[in-house]
Amino acid sequence: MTSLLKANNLSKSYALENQTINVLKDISLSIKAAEFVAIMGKSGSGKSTLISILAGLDTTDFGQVFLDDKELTCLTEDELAVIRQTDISFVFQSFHLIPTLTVAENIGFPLKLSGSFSDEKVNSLLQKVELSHRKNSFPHQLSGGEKQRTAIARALITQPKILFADEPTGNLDEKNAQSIMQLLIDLQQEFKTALVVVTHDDSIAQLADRTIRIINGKIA
Amino acid sequence: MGAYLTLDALQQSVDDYIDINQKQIVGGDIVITHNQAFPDELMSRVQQLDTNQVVYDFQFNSIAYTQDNSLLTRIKAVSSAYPLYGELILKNNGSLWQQSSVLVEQQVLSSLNLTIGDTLKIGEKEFTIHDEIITEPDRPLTAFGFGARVIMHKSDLAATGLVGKKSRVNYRIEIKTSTEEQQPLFDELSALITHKEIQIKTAEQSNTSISNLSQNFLVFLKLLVIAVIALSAIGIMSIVRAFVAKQQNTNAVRSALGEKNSDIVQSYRVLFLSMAFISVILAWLASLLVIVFGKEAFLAILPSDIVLTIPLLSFLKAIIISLIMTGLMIHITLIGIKHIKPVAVLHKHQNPQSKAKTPWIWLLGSAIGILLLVYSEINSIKLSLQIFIALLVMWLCFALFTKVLMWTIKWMLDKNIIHNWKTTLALQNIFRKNNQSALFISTIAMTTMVLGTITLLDNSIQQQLISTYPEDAPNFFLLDVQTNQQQELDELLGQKLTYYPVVRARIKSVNGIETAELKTKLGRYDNIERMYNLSYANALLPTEELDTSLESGQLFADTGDEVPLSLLSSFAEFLQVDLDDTVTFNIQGISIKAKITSIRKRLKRGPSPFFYFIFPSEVLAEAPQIRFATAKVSDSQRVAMQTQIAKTFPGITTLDGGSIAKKLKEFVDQLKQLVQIFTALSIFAGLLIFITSLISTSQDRLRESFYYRMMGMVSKDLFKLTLIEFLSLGLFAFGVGALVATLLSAIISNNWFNLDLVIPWSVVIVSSLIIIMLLIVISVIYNNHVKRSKVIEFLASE
Ligand SMILES: Nc1ncnc2c1ncn2[C@@H]1O[C@H](COP(=O)(O)OP(=O)(O)O)[C@@H](O)[C@H]1O
Ligand SMILES: [Mg+2]
Repeated sequence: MTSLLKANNLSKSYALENQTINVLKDISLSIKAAEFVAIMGKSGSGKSTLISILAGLDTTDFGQVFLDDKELTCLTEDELAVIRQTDISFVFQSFHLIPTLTVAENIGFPLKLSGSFSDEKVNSLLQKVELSHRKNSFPHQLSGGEKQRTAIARALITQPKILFADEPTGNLDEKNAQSIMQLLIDLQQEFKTALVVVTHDDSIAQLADRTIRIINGKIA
Repeated sequence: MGAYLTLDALQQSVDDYIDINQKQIVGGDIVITHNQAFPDELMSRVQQLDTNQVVYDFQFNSIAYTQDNSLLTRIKAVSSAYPLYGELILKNNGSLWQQSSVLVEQQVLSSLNLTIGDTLKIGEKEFTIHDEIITEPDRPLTAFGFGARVIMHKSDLAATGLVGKKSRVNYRIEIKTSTEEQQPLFDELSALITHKEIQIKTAEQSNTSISNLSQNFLVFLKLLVIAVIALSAIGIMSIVRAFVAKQQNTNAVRSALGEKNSDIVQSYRVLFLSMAFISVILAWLASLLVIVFGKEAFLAILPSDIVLTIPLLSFLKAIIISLIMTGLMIHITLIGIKHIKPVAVLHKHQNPQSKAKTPWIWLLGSAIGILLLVYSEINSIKLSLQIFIALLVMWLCFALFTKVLMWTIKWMLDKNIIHNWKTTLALQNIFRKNNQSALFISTIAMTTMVLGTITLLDNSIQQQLISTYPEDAPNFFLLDVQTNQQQELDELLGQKLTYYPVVRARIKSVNGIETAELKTKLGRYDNIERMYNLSYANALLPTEELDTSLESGQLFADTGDEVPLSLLSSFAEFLQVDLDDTVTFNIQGISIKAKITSIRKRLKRGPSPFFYFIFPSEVLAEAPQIRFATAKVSDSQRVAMQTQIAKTFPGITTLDGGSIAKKLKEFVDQLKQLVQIFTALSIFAGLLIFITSLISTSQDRLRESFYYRMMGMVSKDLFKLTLIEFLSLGLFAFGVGALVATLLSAIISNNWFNLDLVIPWSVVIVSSLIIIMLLIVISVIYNNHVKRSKVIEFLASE
């Protein structure tokens, strides 16, 4: 199988007042379609920076990222935005739901952006994440687990080629964390989406096809 | 604050000026005034007093003229003891002021092309100009005068041949006494006065405000500034809120590290209060600059010899007001902090909603503060309560209006009436938590309203009183024309003038109720006890129309015993009378009872003459009367004609309508300039609020903008969204404000100024365009900010 996402020689550093922090040092990797990859590493090792760059949300100092032979690292913000509408999605530790929209509206929002909105798609995803009964609730009325399920549904409704999740269970208790991870994996397999999860949890990593460990900005 | 301090300083200075110069402004310890010669009993008693302690002061208008020039002047003929208090300051101030010479205001010299030592004629007498008047002790303000000042010796008066023919002379006696003698003399003189038209007052009883207009104007400006201060209070609130919102994380950390919330609040309080203190110091400097360099701007309303300082009291007042205000605003805003749990902020899964209740007590406190401030300016509990309640009602109206508007939008959203999802989303964003759309709309609307009302009123007054001197209206008015002078006058001017007979009379009673009793019941439109000009005619003036009449289309109807009378509608309103009601007049001793047979309306306001009371010719034709005449004379001829008339008929006073309108306009322009300065201030405060309320809600707005970007919204759409949201917020606010402003100024201009409201469409259009431009600019700036920031950095920092 050819790779869906390819990163070549990524480097990134931050210049602080009197020192430079090299966060990523010459990282190359590739991810195949529908593959489940876990990224592990100590806090501050550069995991978040890495997946942000892979997802086109952040820029590199050096190196390229390709998605299906399209070079993300040379696109404009708006061109990247259009790619995010259909091909790349994100799930965060802290949900980032739009507080003025209901659960159903949050989930349907990306479809509106890409102009392919339909109620059926929203309802079917609502069912899959078991939130049909909360479709008209607002984010502040939901529990943490429910919020994350909404976020996952929102990320997957466009059937993206790849989904990035940065510590998606970091804000949840153990029981919720497990069911969220299970949901992610189930849906990933159903939608044939590539999944890249940053996690500290070994049990999650064991479920992955492959684990990438980052130590001090390098792949171990 | 600077504006407030400046005005307070001005007012203090004026108050001090009046305190110090009380007697000087009044002219004496006891003052007697009348509009006819004083009765003999009184005169003989006054003549027994020391001549150095009494001033006789006669004032009237007359035309001063030279060979080929003339000017309307206000003559003041005084006896030698003038002035009893204060000093008449002259330009040269040298030699003794002789008989047959006059002192004149600068305007007389410049208008008539004269210098000191030249001669001019007043009435039938020629005078040498002795000196130029710099300031008169009893006339602190010169801007309000009607006619340029000429002071002559009382002993020269007879030779002018003017007094006696004149119907409008103000007679005045000023007496200087020692403190012990004042009351007995006052009582004695009062006892001698039988005629109720004669007024006798002590200096203390006299109205010493340098002029009601300037006093009222200062208070008006201060109220305007208080409005600005109240607006800034809201501004401060949004600034503090924005500041605190930005620092929420820091605060949460500080609090999590064990710092007490009250300590955090305390640190803010110290910070903001010191900032307020510094602002007052800056304000003090600013107002010092205004007072030193900007004195010219206030010349219209201040005595020219006033000493302007910023009294310590004003300064302390400003400090106290601003500290209290800032303190209150901070308190109201910071109450929220005390209830924030650090967990809620640090863990973003819960939106940090402060659970604090609305601090009603503190809001009430600020309301009372503003009430006290208004009260301290106008010193009338009733009026300040009225103003305050009016403000409150207005605020409630706004709040209600805003709520209704929001409900409507919500309803439209719920019913899916809007199909464009971007518009829907933008409108939904208006309901975003923490963004205080209602407060935003109310404050912007309030600001718009204050500014709008000022603009609208200004425009209406401008349009109807000053700018539009109608083309066909007469511009030359002749007062005190004797009946037998008509023909000669027509020949002199080479045109047939329009003459109006004038009979002077007083109102005795209305529907049997005596005027003295009525006076307390009627409004302030006019003084029912004054002398009125009656006229007679058998047809309507071309500038009037019949409103109602007993006999259709007729001014008069058969009324049996009573005399028919046609009344002007505005005066009928003032008298609260209608057709068939009766008015009894005292026409130079003869009592005439008249029945109202018609009510007339003027077609439009303007300089054309009008009479409240018109009788049928036969009723008044035999009464002692004079003529009032109007003519239309080209600009180039007016001065020459005025000179001609002054030479031939010294008793006739001519009024040059064109130049009066011009002078009036200059004066109003000066006042307008001041209002505009303070209006600009409130615009500034409005903008400040506009921007800070956007900032204080920007945390939430920004967060969502980044969410949209994260999900793939392109910047064009984001811009649309922002623009729709800002435009609808801003235009709602502007619209509501403009609407209320229109209503308010319609009410004010109809009730107070008796004017129709003229909506300045150009101003409305220009200001809406400016608002729209502003909103677009803000949207562009905002959008660029979002575009340039990295989505991930924002999301990661959350
Ligand atoms: N905007 C930034 N400016 C400076 N340093 C940063 C910035 N973002 C991340 N870093 C630094 O980069 C390193 C890696 O951060 P991050 O990728 O968030 O690590 P991880 O997700 O593995 O915990 C950290 O040391 C962090 O301090
Ligand atoms: Mg991380």
